[in-house]
Amino acid sequence: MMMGDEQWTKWRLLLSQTAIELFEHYGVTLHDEPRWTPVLGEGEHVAGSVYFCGDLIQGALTVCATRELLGSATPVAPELPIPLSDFAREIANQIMGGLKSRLTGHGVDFSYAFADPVVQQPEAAPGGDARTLVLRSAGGEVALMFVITSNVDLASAGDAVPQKAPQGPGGLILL
Amino acid sequence: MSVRTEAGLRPKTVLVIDDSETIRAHVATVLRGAGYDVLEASDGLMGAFTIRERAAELCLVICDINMPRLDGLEMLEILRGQYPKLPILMLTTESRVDKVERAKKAGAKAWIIKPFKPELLVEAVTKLTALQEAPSRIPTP
Repeated sequence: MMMGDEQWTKWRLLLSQTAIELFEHYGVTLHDEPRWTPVLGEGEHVAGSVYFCGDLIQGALTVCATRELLGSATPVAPELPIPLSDFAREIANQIMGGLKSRLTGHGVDFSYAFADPVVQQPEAAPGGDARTLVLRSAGGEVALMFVITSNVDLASAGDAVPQKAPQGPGGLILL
Repeated sequence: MSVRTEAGLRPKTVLVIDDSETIRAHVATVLRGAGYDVLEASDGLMGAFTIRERAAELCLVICDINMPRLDGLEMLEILRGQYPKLPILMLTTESRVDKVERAKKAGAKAWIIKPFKPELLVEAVTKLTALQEAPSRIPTP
């Protein structure tokens, strides 16, 4: 199925807002790039990919970030032998968590996996052409690439109420 | 240095259950800096095992939801009612109301959506451990 331009505009906004909100927490401003510009910042970079699939959505997210950004986002003792890929995966995990929360109000659920790039595809999973969204920080600290296809028309589901807890990232909810 | 309660001079040990090594290390760094001892588990199964083995040492459990083998909510539901004095803080990317309600029913006392600010985490841990009035627990089967 081909995602129409109007539908993609809504998806693009939703994906962008999810990632931009998360990286604001880390003090990084992301921009929605009209085209892929593979310019990154100075120093060592690490990338992590996550694949996701559900009855109404299918896609992948790749995160590329500098060691400096990852280190400042989740500071741990430098002597700990934690692979940098674990940092990148955690960032991707946080983006996917935000995306799941936003899509719940549209009746979209999906699972995602970091391990071997294989996700069990439901029989009803959408196929067809996928759309691509690239977000990048001005300083080149981080770049994201979403590849996504979905049957969900967010335009017609625009007044759906997200089933989301009344807090954003970092908020404390006492139960 | 361990923080100790006025009543029992009992070390305040926090168990952190998360499959992300990064998150475990980050939380441990923050809490150790605030004077807590920290134990770690990488999934719900290891978390449940550690709680059963070392409950007497624990003042709080910090638990992720999406983990391999046994997720955080399933772990809480298995342990439900067995450690009523042990506060549970969910630290997760999830924010769906149905999951928050499920965690509450299973005994969780608070919920923080990742990413977290270190000062907020310490504040939450301090509040929750202050609620822990007595170290007694219902014996495990």
